[in-house]
Amino acid sequence: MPAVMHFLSMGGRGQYLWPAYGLTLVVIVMNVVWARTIVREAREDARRRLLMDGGER
Amino acid sequence: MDWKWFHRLASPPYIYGLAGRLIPWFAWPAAVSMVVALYLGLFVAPPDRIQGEGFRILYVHAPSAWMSVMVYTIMALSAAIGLIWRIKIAHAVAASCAPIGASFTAVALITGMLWGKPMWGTYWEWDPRLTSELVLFFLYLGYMALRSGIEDLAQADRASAVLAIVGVVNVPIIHFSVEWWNSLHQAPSVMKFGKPTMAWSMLEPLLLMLLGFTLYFAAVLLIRLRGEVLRRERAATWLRQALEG
Repeated sequence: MPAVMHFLSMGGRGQYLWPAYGLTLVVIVMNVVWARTIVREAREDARRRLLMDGGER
Repeated sequence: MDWKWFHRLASPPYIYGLAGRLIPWFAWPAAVSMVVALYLGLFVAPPDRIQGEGFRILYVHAPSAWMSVMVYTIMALSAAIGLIWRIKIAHAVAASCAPIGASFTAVALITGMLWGKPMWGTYWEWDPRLTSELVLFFLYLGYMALRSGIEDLAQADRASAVLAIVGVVNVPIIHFSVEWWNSLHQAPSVMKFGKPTMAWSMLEPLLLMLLGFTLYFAAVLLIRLRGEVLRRERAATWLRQALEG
């Protein structure tokens, strides 16, 4: 346990370091989620467009 | 000369399929390099002689800052290609770059502030490097605002392309700001000519993280590009194929 605490304290800089790492992780994940949402919405939108056009072209 | 490959590269259905196939080839190596870099950066690299353990913010700050300028440069280049040769897919690439670049510029700024507070005793200083990076953030926001403000897609492409190209002058300003002006920000230790001024055990995680971020950008860009291509495409036949596939 002291080893973990020592690691987390990062020589007294933990309060700056961990938020920086946390924010970076959140943005990395968010960008993937965000991009995938855009593709899903574009697909749904395209499907609607096809239905509205109807028939073969 | 045979230009077929070039025309194929500009065709939306081909790009849509190609992007889909390429994504895992960037995403997995990106994930592996980032995880290994994280391990090396937090557990293996020794503490800095002057900055102690706090220097480890470097491993998220520098790659984010690298992303912010690399993505902008790619965005401006694609916009220029789209504007000069009237290639729609290039505009689609530029449009896909902006939100990714903007978010990592924000990360670079905020992680920089978190690094600056214990190092310089302040979160923010109107220092050349910090200010020019903030300008980059506003350039991204302006680019996105301009795009969303213009209804006609072709017009939005052209107008935003001009903004992106004009804004590219800021990129060398960011890079050389620490040399041209008296800056609080430390000089580059990797992105310069000659040998890097850093021990290998500290440098290795950084290089791996830079690689990871770059591959990650390619993967996210390809995902976004697929959405952008779908959004722009009006031809029913291939849309139907794409939706089934």
